Amino acid sequence: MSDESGPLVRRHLAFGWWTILIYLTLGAGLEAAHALKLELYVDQANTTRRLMWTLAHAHGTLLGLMSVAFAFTASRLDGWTDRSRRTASRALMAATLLLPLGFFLGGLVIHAGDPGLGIVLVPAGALLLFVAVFLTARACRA
Amino acid sequence: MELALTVLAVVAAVALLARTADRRLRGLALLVVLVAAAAAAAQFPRRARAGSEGDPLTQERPVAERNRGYVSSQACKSCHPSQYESWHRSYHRTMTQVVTPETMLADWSGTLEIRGKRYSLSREGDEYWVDQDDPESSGNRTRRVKQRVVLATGAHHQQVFWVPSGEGRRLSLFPATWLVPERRWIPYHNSFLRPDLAVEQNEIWNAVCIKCHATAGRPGRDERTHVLDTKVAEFGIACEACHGPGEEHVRKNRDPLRRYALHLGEGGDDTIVQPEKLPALASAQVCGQCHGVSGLRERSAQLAWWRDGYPYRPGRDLLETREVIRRPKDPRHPFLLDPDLAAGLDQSFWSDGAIRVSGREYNGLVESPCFKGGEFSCLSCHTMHDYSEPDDQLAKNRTGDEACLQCHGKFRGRVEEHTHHPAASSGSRCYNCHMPYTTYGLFKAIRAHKVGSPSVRESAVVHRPNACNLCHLDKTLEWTGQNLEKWYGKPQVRFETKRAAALVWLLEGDAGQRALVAWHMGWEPALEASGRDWVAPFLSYELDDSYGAVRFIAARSLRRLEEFEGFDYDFVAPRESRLVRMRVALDLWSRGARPKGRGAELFLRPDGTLDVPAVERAIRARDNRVVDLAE
Repeated sequence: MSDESGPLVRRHLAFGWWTILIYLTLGAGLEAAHALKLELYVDQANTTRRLMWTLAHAHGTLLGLMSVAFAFTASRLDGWTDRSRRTASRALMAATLLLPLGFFLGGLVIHAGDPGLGIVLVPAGALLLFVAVFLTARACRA
Repeated sequence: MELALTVLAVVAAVALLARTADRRLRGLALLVVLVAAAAAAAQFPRRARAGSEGDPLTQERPVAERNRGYVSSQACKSCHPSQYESWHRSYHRTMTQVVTPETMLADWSGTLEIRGKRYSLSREGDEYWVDQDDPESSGNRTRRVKQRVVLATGAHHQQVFWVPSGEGRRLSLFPATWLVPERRWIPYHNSFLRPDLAVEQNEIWNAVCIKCHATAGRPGRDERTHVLDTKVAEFGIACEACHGPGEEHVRKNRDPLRRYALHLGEGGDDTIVQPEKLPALASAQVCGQCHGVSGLRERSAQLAWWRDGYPYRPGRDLLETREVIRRPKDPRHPFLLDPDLAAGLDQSFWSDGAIRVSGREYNGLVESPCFKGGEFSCLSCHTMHDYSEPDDQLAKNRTGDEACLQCHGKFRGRVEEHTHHPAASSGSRCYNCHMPYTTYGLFKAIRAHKVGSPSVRESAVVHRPNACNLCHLDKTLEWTGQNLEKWYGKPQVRFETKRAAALVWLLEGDAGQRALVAWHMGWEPALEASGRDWVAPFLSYELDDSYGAVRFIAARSLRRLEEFEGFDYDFVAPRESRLVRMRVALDLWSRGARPKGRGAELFLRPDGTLDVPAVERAIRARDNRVVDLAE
């Protein structure tokens, strides 16, 4: 393991587990909204909000797990250049911030079948996620 | 496609595993092949589910087709989930449905006998069949046929069924109606207010029901052969019936930039019609295209209708292509000088032009003083989406006086002063005086949509029961006139009769009047205002009315009286049986407590017994003109 990879691995482990905690909490909140039949969540008029917040919970949790998986992967790849690893790390962290947040904000204000403007964060996060995964997959072949 | 993918997956799995000599893995590969083969076998065509697109009977009935700019409600659902859901819950959606186990409400079994003809009902899987005399044959050449029921009309009060005629997509009527709340069959002709002995007609769905019970119906009559190739945009009254064809709207709004510009901007979307945003007349016409009496002027328009259906689209002027029929008030008008036209107008209108049959509320609306202000439309009170309950689709804040006070705010807080009735009573509800139940439909009285004020003059001249006497069933027209003169300065009219107006209408009036009064004798506010200990004998006499619908309503009102709860009576039973039950009902009332403090105005003697000769004289003086109110 290089000098830089150690702190990166720890960073991703911490980042990943905290992300999982945040979006797990969101999931618990959504379950509570279901249980309490809160109108802003279960009403037919709020179908789009329900979809967006469910996606936020799912993506956030999965991306947190991806961060943990990234830490594991990074610790195994001795040949991975620092620059590439750093780029992948930042792209993944940014994606983890933007993707689920975009879904969540998109569900705050909805327009019938359309999410709110916050949804524009999602494609940006998705692009960064592709970059991170591509760089990581490429590093595995090296 | 699915088969090809399945085969591909199998080949890939086998190729991968064949590289290994491991026996367990070769066994696994064999298992994969067997599972894939079973999955592939499951792809082979099966018998199409009844009512689905693959059902061969779709060739013999009208079908829904997305063309001419129509895309169906399925296209609306994903972007407008709330509106779709509220529409889906409504009875507009279920006005016409393909018959499936999910849509069939009737007990489709056993044998029915209607006017001497036998109908055997059966179910085979998801299909519903009737064995009957061929509806296309007549006279001595009748043959038995077994036909499958393919379409159903209605799902709220009644359900009516249609069978293929064998000629194109033309559908014939199955002549029995299923009453949904009562869960029973009745002859179709008894489901309307028409004489028992009215000649039965073989209704054609493609000519009659298609006009209003489907969206963008097109009869599709071939000019040469007259064979009907009927298509609709959608069965039932769906999104595009009110919003217009949605193809352009869907296509353009696939662009997210356009959608968000609309969401965040102030302007509307010009690719779709929003009835709420139309001027009042245009908005009302969206409803009036179906909830109105109208016709096509020229013969060329009628021929075009047979081919393409109505050309009207929401947002356009209905009067460009249709004539909204309004009964002329001038008796010298050509419509009224033509006997056939006059007879038809009489059936649907009171003589002052107010509509008297339900489902034609637009005609009432346009006669209302409120409408003349230019802001009053159906959407002033009703809504298609955010309604309180699907029965009337009144907006949530329009179920009470607020519907009227939204414009007539000066009466807010001054109700008693205006109505001269206690504020909490039914006599102080705006609707009850200004939109009384004086139109008829579906075995009940429906609120008039010509908004007006109670008038004894109307009752005397037009013979339409007024709001006061329909609640105060025990009062005379003179009593009403005196109070209207005292409270509102309305000129009094001289009346000879000292009988309660409601009883005059019930015993001597035409069938439409009798139906209205019989209904009101089961209306709780009227029974509270008038007392209920005297109504039973009059309802009992109506158990022998010559109109089945009047008998039905009278029996239902009778059963709402405590001593007649569960009273055994069948309004379509043979007359001998009905007479027996009528006498039982009269006897039951006469053995009960006699009404006190009542008199000749209610055909009662001082001792509280019924003045039977007087009642029978009144019935003999009955207006027996033919009434045919087909809503």
